[in-house]
Amino acid sequence: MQVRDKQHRPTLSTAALPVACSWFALSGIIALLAFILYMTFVPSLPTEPGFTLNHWKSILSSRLLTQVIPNTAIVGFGTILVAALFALPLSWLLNRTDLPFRNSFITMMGIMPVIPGFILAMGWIMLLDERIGLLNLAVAHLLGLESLPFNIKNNPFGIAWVMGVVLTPGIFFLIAGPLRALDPALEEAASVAGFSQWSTVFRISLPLVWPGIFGGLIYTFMTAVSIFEIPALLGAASGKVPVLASEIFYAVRPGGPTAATFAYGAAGVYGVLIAVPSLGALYLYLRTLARSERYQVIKGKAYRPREMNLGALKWLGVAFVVFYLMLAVVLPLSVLLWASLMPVLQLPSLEAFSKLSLRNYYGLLAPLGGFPVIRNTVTVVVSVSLLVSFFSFMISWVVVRTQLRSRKLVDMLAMLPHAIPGLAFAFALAMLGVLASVWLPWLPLSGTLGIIMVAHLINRLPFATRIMNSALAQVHWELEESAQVCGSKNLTIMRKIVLPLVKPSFIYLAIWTAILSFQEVTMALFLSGPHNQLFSVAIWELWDGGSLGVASAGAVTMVGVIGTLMFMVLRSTGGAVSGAQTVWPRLPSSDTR
Amino acid sequence: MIQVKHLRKDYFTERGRVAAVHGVDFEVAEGEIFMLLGPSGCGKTTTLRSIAGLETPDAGEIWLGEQVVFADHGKTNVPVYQRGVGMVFQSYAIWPHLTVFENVAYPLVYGVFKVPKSEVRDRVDKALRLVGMEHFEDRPAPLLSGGQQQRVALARALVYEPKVLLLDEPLSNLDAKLRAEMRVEIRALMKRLNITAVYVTHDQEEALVLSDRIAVMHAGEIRQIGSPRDIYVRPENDVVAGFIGTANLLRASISAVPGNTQEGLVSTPIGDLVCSLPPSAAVGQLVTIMFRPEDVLVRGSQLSQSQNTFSGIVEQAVFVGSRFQCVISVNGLKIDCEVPKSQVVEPGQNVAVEIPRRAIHLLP
Repeated sequence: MQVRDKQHRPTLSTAALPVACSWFALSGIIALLAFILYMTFVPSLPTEPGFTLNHWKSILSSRLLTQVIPNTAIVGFGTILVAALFALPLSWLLNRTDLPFRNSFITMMGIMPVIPGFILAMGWIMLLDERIGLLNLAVAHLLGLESLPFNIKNNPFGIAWVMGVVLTPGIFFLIAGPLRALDPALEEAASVAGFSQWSTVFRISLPLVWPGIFGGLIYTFMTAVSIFEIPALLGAASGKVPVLASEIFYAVRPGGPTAATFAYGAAGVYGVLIAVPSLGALYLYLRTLARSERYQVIKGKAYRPREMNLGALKWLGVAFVVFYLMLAVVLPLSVLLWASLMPVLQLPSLEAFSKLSLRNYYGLLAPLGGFPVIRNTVTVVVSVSLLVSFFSFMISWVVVRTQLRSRKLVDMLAMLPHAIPGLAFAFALAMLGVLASVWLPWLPLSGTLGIIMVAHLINRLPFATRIMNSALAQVHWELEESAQVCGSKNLTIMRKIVLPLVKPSFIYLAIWTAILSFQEVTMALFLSGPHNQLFSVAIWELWDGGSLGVASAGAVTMVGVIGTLMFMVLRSTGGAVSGAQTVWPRLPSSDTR
Repeated sequence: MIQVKHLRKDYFTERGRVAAVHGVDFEVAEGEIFMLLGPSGCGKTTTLRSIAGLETPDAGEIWLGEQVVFADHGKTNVPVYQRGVGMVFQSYAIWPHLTVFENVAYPLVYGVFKVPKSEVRDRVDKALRLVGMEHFEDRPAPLLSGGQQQRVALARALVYEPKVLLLDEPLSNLDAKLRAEMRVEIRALMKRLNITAVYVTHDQEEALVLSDRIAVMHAGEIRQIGSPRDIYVRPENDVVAGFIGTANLLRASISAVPGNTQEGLVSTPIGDLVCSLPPSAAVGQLVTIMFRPEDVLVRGSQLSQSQNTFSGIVEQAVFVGSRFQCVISVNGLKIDCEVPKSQVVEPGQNVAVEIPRRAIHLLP
């Protein structure tokens, strides 16, 4: 019957519209990638003639070799070290033990990605800054130290710490799958053979899920090196801790103290330097996954994982989870809330409490940029949400519903932006904008909301198509075929049959996309001009300009809006756990078919 | 009404090109119920789906009435929604987000079978009454039982009065009792409406009860087309004989050719048998003989004087309610037989086995 299901699918002639839409989106992605490569061989702007290898030679410049690449490496490896130290115990505690409140904790891990990284980084700066850090001050005060003990800014290890805490849920969910799927019989066999509970964990379970863990680490590494916003806030913007991602940014948008001129070609080279290792890591990750399947331990079959009885130690476990959540969410967000209520940042005291006021909130709209910023943000968030839903539906329909031989290619191309940093796409789009302003003056691109929408669309497509693929796979193909036989054309069938059936997934996807587009800052900032400022960019610029109190008020407002939207997601799915797992990285071989 | 000529369809799998259907030909007359019968993977569903237009054949021609809907390797290929056929799917394919009424009304509201709004209710009511579902109009589809969904699927396929009805194993998901009832009911309904139908099944009993004619398919080819009685009584080859009912098949060689009595002699592993031979038969020719278990006569131990009688030992006797199904060893060969329930048989018992001359059928 399996074979038959695969053979009997709708035929080519019925799929023209979705195929056209899919290739429209995917060829855009390919064109942008090709354009990045092309840029690395052009002396200046592509509007000017010439061919040069100088940009590639510049890799050998001392700055890149002695500063940027070592920093990037420290940030990357430091991040996975920090993240693994949290994620390994967390995923074991929450997946394989009888820890109390497990499901609530997993839900909290699941909604972590909606809290913008740059906002958490702002919180951490207020906690551990070398001059104003509240935690710093508090520790110094308690221990009677002369100087402040920590310094998170202008320090690659500080960047690694914040990114590690922020990216922990990523590894958590990557490991949770293999851990839950581990055949309990293997562990039971060890117990029968006389292993204690703990030595079973270290000698049997850990080695078996090692491929999954390894994959998760690689994956987190490539995410870490492509993030711009956190390093920028913590030292890359000031030029003291340059990393590859910030090099791209400031090469095209000079404003930092180091780069005073445009260096488009160099930015392309940096983009390639991030994208190539990322693609390599993705390949490695897929291979590790494939090999782990060969172990035959991690099967699709639903085993009931064996849960270890922690006994009295379980409260220690709860303490660890709470400790992590404090560090990752509670502390940075509370300090932001505190800062937003204070005229000047200071430690809580009776005197400080008397100064509490909502002043930073009253005048918030004006420093953010007034009503246009709200309008811009709503326009972008709603359009991106609709565009992503539309294109992911069309692409997934081609992948799941047709028997075209190109459907696997379509699926892979839709995953491509997942391995390539958003900043690289933003760079290519910005360059296209420059070109358009020269060659096609009637086509507004640079500095418009549209260019940000396209960047967000490309960036969200991989996740969205994963969600749509599994939603469509659940709609039996005979439901569509019977409508065809009943005299309906494809469009009517999609409107009247398929869409209503996948509506829950659609709503879920649309809200998630809206949240993630709302909190995105890197691409929006990179592509910003005077007329397309978004809420996140405005907060960033307030912070950059030194208005910490107002920026904090903006950040708290943003988290509040996200919280409300998140509540809608939870309502629409009846729990975040399943949703969180689809939003965290899942790669092609692990789902669809 | 339906003509299928030289239909071919290949699939590409990991192992390369596999022919699902190669060279299928048949015609279905108006008002006839035509059955495609065969084991899974024999190409029957692919053939049916090609008629509906859900599958694009590689070669061949398909005619619906006076219209050619597929020809010239797909240069003529009428899309599914314009072929005007009704179809009932194996999974019923009742849309779960719609009510019974909305499901049946769908073809009349959207697409090429659209009718004026005022007519929709009457037509849907009429179709639901045909299948006895008129009291379930407002029921959401997920709250229907399997049998009810089946009826709704039938109503939906009939509501736009298609020229041709296609059914893809429509009863295979029902329980045995309901299936037996639905067979009779569907046949009565189709005969009342004088519908031309192509029906796919792997259930031989369903095929025998429901159809006017059966095409037995095997490995992408039609091995015999005929009435249910023809197929059962005069199978043309061992595949058909083995698939329909239970058959005893024996290799045999012709040892004596009839003069004018039409009674020849064949020698088989269980002994010589007297049977009718065609005029073309020649001594020494190798043939397969076939006889059905229910035609075999089993008697108590004393050997009678009649023709074609052998002694045997009962190896197995299973009581199935209306009769015993037995395996009897005759000269070391196992023969399937049926014994009336009034007669007592037990394993180990010595019996006489008679294979009546008229029950023996020759296969090439």
